Amino acid sequence: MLTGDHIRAAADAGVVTLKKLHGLSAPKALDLAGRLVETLRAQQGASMRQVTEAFAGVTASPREVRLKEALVKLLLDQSELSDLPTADAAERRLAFFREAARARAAGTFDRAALLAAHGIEPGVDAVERALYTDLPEHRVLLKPTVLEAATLIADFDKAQARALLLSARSLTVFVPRGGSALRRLVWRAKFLGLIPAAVEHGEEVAVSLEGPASGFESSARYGLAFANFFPELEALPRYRLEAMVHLTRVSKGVFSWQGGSGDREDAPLPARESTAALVLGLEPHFDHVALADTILVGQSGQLIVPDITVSRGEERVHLELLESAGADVVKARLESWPADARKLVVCWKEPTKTTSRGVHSAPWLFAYRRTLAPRLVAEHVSRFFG
Amino acid sequence: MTSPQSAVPKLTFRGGTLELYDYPRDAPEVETPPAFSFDARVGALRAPAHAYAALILWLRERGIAVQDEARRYDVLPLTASLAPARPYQVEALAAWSEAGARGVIVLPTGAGKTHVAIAAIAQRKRSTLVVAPTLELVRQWAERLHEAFGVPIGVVGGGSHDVQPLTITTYDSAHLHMAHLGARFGCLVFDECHHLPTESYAFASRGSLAPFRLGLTATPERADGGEDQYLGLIGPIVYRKDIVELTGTFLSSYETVRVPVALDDSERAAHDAARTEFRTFVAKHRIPLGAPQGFQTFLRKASLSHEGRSAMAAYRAQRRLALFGAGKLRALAELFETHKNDRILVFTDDNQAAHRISCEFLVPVLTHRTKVKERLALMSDFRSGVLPILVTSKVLNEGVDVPEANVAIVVSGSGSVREHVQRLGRVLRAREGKSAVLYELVTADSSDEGRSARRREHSAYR
Repeated sequence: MLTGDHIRAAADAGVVTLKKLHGLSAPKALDLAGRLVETLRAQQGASMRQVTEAFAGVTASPREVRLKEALVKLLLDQSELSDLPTADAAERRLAFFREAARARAAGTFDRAALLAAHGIEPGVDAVERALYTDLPEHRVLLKPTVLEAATLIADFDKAQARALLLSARSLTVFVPRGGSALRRLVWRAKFLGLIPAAVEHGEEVAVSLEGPASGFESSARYGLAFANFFPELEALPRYRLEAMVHLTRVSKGVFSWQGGSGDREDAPLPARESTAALVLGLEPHFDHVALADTILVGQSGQLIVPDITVSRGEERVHLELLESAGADVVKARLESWPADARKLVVCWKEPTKTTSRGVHSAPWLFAYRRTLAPRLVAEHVSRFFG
Repeated sequence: MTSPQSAVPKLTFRGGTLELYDYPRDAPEVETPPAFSFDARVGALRAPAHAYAALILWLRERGIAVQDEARRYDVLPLTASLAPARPYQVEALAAWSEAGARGVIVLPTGAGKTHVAIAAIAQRKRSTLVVAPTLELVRQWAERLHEAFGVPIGVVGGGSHDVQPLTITTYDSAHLHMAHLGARFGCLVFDECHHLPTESYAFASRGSLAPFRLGLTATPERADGGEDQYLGLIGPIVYRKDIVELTGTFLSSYETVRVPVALDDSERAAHDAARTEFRTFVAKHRIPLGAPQGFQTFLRKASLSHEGRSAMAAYRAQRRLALFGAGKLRALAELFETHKNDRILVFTDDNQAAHRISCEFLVPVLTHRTKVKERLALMSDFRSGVLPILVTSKVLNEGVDVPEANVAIVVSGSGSVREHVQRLGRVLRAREGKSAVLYELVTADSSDEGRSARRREHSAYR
């Protein structure tokens, strides 16, 4: 992934824009990328120090320097390097230095003789190569990336956009309506420690993403989570995003971006999938366990994406599965759901509470368990269906 | 319909913040607790976790009951096994206690800040997280706490994630993990707390609900004025003693020696040519290098043309020669000879110079890239005298406890007063009959002289 040092962006009148290809024309950028790819491929088997030196030999005009550094970063990120030697190098080095210290204390220290005894050339560079084989610059380029220059350039601005999110304070993504895709985004956001909130926005769904502390001074801390969320968006067929980005303390604004070229199938998440399958298997009277395309409009307009929707005839029960949450968190969620929807929230990984609560006649049910138990889920759903 | 709602407001911890549910914020004559605001995303009041102590006091004053599910720290039956405290350590602890167990204690390196912290932990008897800047310091703290309390000590960082009631971590790890750990400790100790007031590290304080907070440093002032933030993040500076107040009694006596070093003829020619090119560019473009944003302006203008990039290369070349010419290697050889029976720490500005010295003199180097196992072996050998010389760039600048070290050689460094005072501190820990010396190698007629003058602006060098 690129970092802030690799991108070119500017803020003007509250709008942050990326300088596409750093302001270079596509042919020029392609030429630079082509020379870098060639250089990299010629260095197969070389040490990273040699690779770095070889890249330094690729000429770039002042306007191309940062683009060159960014392209090198992308190329190396996708290449295969050797692992560093493990403990042996450090142990050999320590033994060598101890021997040198003993000789110094005894007044017999002779640099040239000591190095010769270990078969090391006397030059400083040779000594470093011999003693510090475990430094990152001594890693070997095993397999250069197969990435072509054209692809590198075509995807460069996407890489810039992702890196720009490292400086974002908040992020809103707009995606087409669709239960599974939205569920997956929400799940991923939760995994990254973000708090997602979805509302309808015309033909799209707008998902706002912030962290718990976003309202306070430490809001910069979620930039990495936003950047890590980016590939999830790129896997969609299409999306757009708006991010509040702080380039510096004073230079900030809204960054807009649209993309998406993925063809990801709406694969259900493993925990939900297995739970849904087991619920269906345990209770043959249920007609259907749906994982996709269920979106409820909550009481204050936000969209609720249940994890599982179970149906029997015309009746439906929606389930949300949370790993861990207090009673009031659950209450807040239940209250935000449509008032007349039958809904069940199951929390697991709650070591202190093992009771389930609820009233059969009520349109909601809420259970705590130590583990996510499909049998329990099936039993609770059965209660709704009478 | 039965509701899971309880009548009593409930306080929970989430991601370094506090969530207050079922608080009757809409009821007439009900105030919102200080630092809290309504978060519509979850339907609760929210505040940074560090508002916890103030909230609990505020609720108590008003007789408002709360179901506290946020606090997850323990009261511990701790008894510390400690040597008798020195008079200033007793004063420092008393000042901290009087300030409500929140505040910063400023003591010079080697004056026994760790001793004060252990006494503070024993006094408060709460689960405690110690935050230190380097893994070497984490290791040292773990040893000291285990010696003092005889209980298992947790370590988070450097590949370890073992959380115990007494746990040590680094600032980096605290920043990463406080969203999960912030409710588990009632007392925080920030070692070398001048690291804390940055946007990211400050979360190690804001994301924790610990009511008791102790900051320790020898050098509270920051170049960016960030010391103003101690009050909000830890507490006020409650006690302060300077190096000169303790030297000769509780700290080793010491001298500082400036060693002027000349560049070789060829180095001098290259240095002067490069410096002229750099200065010509600066003058031509009227760049105010002395202004606060002066160097940034230079960087920006230098990136716009071949001439600028050449000036940048020239700037780097003259700086490199000033920081580390051949004369410094010769001076180093002489000092190694002079102090062949002493324990020497060599400091450089960068890893490249440290490695050069290592390979030239066949002495070990310790940098941020040195793995934990090798680091432990190097420090152990240095303490025992098996390896009497250790070269480092910046990783040993702070807090490393090596009473045996009596010679520090600053080959190169920044103009930072803090860095220089910390480096001096490495050799000040008192030991019977010990007299310490800090050498500073300075390239004559170069920018090195200016850096040296800036970093010596401290009472320790007057």
